[in-house]
Amino acid sequence: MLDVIDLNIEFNDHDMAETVVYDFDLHMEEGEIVGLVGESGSGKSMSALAIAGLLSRKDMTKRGSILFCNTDMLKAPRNEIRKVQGNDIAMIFQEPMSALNPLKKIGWQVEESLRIHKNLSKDEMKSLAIKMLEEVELDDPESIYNKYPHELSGGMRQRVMIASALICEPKLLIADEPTTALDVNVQEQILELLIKINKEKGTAILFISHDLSVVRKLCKRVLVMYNGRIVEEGLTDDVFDNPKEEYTKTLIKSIPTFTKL
Amino acid sequence: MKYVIKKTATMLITVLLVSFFVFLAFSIIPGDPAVAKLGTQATPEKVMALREEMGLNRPLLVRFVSWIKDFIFGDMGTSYSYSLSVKAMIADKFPITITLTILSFIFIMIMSVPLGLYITEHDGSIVSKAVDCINQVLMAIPPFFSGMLITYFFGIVLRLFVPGGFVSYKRSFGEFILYLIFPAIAIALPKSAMTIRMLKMSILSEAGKDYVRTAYSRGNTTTAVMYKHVLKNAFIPVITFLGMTLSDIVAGSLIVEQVFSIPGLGRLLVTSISNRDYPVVQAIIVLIVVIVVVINLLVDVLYRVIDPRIEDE
Repeated sequence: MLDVIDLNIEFNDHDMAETVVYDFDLHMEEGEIVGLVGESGSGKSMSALAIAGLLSRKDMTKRGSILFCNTDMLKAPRNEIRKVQGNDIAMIFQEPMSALNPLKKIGWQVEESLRIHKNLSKDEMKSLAIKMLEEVELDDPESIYNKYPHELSGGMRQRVMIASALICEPKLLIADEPTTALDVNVQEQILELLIKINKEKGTAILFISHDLSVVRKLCKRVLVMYNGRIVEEGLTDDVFDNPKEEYTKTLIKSIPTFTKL
Repeated sequence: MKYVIKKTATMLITVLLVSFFVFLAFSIIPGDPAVAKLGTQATPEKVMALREEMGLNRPLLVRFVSWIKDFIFGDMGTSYSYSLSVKAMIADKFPITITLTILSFIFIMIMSVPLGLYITEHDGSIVSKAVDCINQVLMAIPPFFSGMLITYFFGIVLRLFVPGGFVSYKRSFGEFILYLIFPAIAIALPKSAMTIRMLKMSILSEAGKDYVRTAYSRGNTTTAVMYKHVLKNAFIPVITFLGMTLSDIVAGSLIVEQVFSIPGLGRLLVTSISNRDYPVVQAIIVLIVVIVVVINLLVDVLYRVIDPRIEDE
């Protein structure tokens, strides 16, 4: 479904070009959950934004190819990329507080992808949006539909983001640190929600995080990034039990455990 | 409902306070309206008699209360110098100044919003840089000076209008508007330059926010992101600025009226001040205060319509 081959991303906004992602390769099957871990600045978010077709700054060069269901998300014209965005690839972000437009009602924002990609009547869209809000386990979706983002908590907003991302039933959901800004108990709920969605709808998830414990809970396969390169990849359990690279070992050591306390 | 009551109360208190200070100021500054009316040759007895007649010998607070009471019931008093009803004098001039203000505001909107959007979308282009540069110059030129330049170029050199000419709105509304166009441009130029800059900075800062990335991730075109998401958010600070601008151009038009010899409230105000015609001066100032307060109220209401985050606190 998704084939990223030799992705290189380079910034040219300084005198010297600065490469932030080197030779990134990723293959994903339908319905798979893949984890992408690494520290801040390792290039994981850049790679994710590139896959979602959201890197369009003029001061960067991108090489390689990102093939998603026959569309090259790097080289295809913007019109074609737009048809994939929100429809087949959807994305949720780290900051649910600022990722929603503060001036628009929740219902309007959840329906937005439908308005862009599907040709439905207002009533059809509304009933789909409310169904979706129900599926992300929000209480009283009818009233949430008419609320504004500032009236909801962080966890509720992230659920709204998930609902708005999944409304067109995309094949791939890219989750860029979706739980980092949330309380621990809310984190847990959001993770369970993502697992449920993956099982019920078969949505593939590319889960980006610096939190290894979260990745271990969610992903069967994992890629470890460091300084713009993938340093290790494999089945999550293998990588965690027998890390080959020095960096992965230190990463795993840094996970706090109860036995240490 | 609570908001409306609170807001109205604040408005009334503001108007009342300002009126009192205006009243106080004119009692303190030197110059006797009775002397001004009778001339310097008048005998002290005559002046005394006139002061008594005009009610100037009563205590300040008593005079203020009786003046404000009459004002509320629509009686603005009688002009000292013309012995005319102040209300009639203002009613005659008010439409001129208010038309000039509205016309200026329309010009500001017409010039700044499309141009602001254009140079933001083409940020970095030659046109955008040129507009930035011209803006810088226009912001530094006060309206009375650009008014003089406009009079010279469009009035004397190009002969598009007669400098100093004026047609009353009672005679021909069309020609009246024509004579107000150039003064309105003089007022609008520096304000438009500022609005363009405000709008550009506001749009650029909104465009970097997270919800914009979300909008793109749903497959929006750049135009849709701009018009459905960014613009409404970017307009919030601009509306505050436009509200202040509107109050400002009411005052600005008083000055520009002098440059273009327009017989509006500004002219009346200046003559009345030099004649110590306090009833007229006080009435005009209070009127301007009321206008400013009402504009502030409208901006506040507009805010609440646009931004759902502002609610009754």
